[in-house]
Amino acid sequence: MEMESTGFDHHKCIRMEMDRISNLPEPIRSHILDFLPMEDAFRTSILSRQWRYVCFSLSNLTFDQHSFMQKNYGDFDLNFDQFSFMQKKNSGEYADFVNRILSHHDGSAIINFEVNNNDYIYPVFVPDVNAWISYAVNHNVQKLRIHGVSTKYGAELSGDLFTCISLTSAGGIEWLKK
Amino acid sequence: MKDSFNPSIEPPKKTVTLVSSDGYDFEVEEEVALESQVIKDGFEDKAVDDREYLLFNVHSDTLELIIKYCEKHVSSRKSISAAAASSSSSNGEEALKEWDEHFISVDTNTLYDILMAADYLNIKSLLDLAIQKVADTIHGRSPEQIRKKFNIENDSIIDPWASE
Repeated sequence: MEMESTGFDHHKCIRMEMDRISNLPEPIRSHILDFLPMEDAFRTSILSRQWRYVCFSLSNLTFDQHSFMQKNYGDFDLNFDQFSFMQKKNSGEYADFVNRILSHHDGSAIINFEVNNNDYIYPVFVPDVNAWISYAVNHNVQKLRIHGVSTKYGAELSGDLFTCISLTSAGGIEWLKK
Repeated sequence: MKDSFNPSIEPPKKTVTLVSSDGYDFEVEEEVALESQVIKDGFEDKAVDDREYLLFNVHSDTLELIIKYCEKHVSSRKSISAAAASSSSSNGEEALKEWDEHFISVDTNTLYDILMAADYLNIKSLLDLAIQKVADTIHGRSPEQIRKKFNIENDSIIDPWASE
């Protein structure tokens, strides 16, 4: 395996001050972010230019509406271009957040995709959920969980689910079977 | 440790030699070296008397740690399965987890060295252990705290902290 020539073979005396984490190969940094909650993973995008896009290759996407509404993914006062949307919080903005993250995703495979639509004051629209499921399926998702989707819009979930993947768990299963 | 599968033809312990980037030889048992998927993949192609691996990316300080980790995991697996076979109670898994925790509690530079070596040698459990450790350090910290912790220079053209 090819190593990056930066971060490895240094004398201890000079490397103490070095930013070694930024010089880790991108797949490893992406792997690190997969071990973090989403807020922490996205927060790394503002660390420096080298970190800006790492979070768009996450293979483990977990969205939680409640935590989005409460904690506000933008609690760190983001103020630049593609991240301004992270500061919003109300009804359609959670869906907007998920849509924006997915549209920025670099297209690499998604292993785990989990959506917790658990804010009943601002239910998520079914077409959005369908689009997310299609997205996950098209990226060869291995584990998919959709929780607590409102039924009030009466639309059908996309058929992708039933043809492409094995559901290991689904909180919205009653709704799925409609 | 007896080999319950076919004890009659169990060969004497074979060793392989791992050579660090700074030229030190480490003689280790075959099964310890085979913890590395990279070594395992190329193993059968090598002549039996020529089992020497030049690890250009692993310094002797790091290699020593890696070998220690692999030896521990090989021996723990044996004692765990031996305990399971004799159905005696064992807290081997717990003990190994604790050992891992202690093993990976190292300074930041050593942690990266282990991480890179585990990636290079493809030792998945060790890579995950090291990555989890780095992730734990990032978790819950503000960007400024992370930058400070890891010596990251904020070179963004647009200052995300500027007020409107």
